[in-house]
Amino acid sequence: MTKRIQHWFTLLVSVLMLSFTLSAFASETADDKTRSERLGESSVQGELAGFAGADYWRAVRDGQEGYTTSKSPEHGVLISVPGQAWFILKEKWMSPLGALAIFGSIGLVVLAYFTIGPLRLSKAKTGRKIQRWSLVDRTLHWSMAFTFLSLAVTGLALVYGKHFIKPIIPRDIWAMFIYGAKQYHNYVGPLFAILLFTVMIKWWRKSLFTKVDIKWFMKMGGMVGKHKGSHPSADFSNGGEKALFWLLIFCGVFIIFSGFVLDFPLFDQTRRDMELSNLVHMLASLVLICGFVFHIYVGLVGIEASLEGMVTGEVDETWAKEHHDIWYEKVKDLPENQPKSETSSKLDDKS
Amino acid sequence: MASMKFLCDSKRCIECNGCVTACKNENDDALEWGIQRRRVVTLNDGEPGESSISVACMHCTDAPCMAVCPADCFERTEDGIVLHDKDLCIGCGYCLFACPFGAPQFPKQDAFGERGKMDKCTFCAGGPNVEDGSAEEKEKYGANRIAEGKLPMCASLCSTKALLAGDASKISDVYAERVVARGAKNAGWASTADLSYDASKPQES
Repeated sequence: MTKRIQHWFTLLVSVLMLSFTLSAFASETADDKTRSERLGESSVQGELAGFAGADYWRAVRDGQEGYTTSKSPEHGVLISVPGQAWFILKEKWMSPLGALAIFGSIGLVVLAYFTIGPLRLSKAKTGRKIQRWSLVDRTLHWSMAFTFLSLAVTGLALVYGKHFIKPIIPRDIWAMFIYGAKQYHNYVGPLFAILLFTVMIKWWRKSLFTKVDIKWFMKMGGMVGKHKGSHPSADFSNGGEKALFWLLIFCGVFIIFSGFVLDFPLFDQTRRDMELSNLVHMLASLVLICGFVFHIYVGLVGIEASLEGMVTGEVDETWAKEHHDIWYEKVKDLPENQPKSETSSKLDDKS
Repeated sequence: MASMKFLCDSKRCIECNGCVTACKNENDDALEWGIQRRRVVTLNDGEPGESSISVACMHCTDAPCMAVCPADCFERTEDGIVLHDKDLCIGCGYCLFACPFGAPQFPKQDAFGERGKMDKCTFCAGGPNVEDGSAEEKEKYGANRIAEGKLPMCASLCSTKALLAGDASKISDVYAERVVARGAKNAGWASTADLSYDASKPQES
């Protein structure tokens, strides 16, 4: 009895299993059929529409990697479409908008010169000199200024040169010029990085924001409109100088790291990495160039007697009192800032 | 005004790399170590649905390399071939970023991995601003078969005639004939199923 039940049970299980397997087979073949039909259809359509449309083509467009004997980087990828996005962003958006931003900034400072006008000292210079920038500070500033400006010029030449310079100069000169611009940019770039980190270490402490700076910003630095000439208080650096410093550091760090990725193609960085770096590099540089158009305006003509501090290292007592009153109070009693009478006529000769 | 193009029939390409060798040999004077202008990429290598395609510069009608080059060193010939001037090339790599086919390559033998003058397929048409067939052209750009009235070496030597080169309308006619008149389904860049021909099996219509 038990044997018969066992026998029947085995048979039942076998039948069940068989039917399961068969149905699985059946559905598999059905799936295969529809898939091949679908593929056949799409590839015929693909062939009719040139070469596009099939699943295969889609996989290729997604950058599927295959095998190749070529040892060049990324050569296993048949087609890599994202470069298109980079090229449209760079050529169709960044280039024209960047030109607009730079010319816009220059236009604004020209406008400021004619409408607001430079900020003159309200009292006459006393002739008493206050030490402001040491030789190290000034060297750092002017090395930075030189590398920054020359890198900006060569960088802009690499972006816009083909539109504005190439058409007006002979081919050989253009070849030399644009090659020189790239080489200069690539080799002086790292120098800028070193200078920027030195500047950061040297000047970060005097650039920390305080409550005084909020008031300075509320009065628009005493440069514009009804506040013009009101001279809000400031320590060694005023709010504007501090903001510019941190803008330089912030954008500078982006510029340096993206520039590093672009400058040294030694670390297996992909095309995508370099495209992204290129966009970051251009955007951050653009912000800095526009920012420094205003810095240069303020330093050269916007505020009377600003330049001499960075050239000679000393500023006039009146200038110090008006623009950096808190700092003036701190340093006016220092021995090196006492009126030069007979002891050091050497410095007097300069003024 | 022709419009020169390459076309690779993935049903016929057998990954023999003959085109690569032909190109390398023909343009040898201009090619630095490690650079091959043409390559064969095999997708699904060793799996069902394996297929190979030979790829080099596709001489795009709207070439991205041309649009991004800061030195503006590219030009399109009247035959629709995209050539670049190595005197103007500064080795910035922008064309490499923009090119979907990975065609531009750079010799990297200078300090800090600095890129040298870009090199890419010239459709065996030499380069601009040099005398056709001159030693200078051969040294800088390789062969100029177009000036001799010949097609690129890679396509000329393709043993299965998978790689076609020539005027776009001509090669698309050749291809259309294969597909329509000779029944080569899925012959373009659009095939996954049934790549190998097995005479012992009945063929699907």
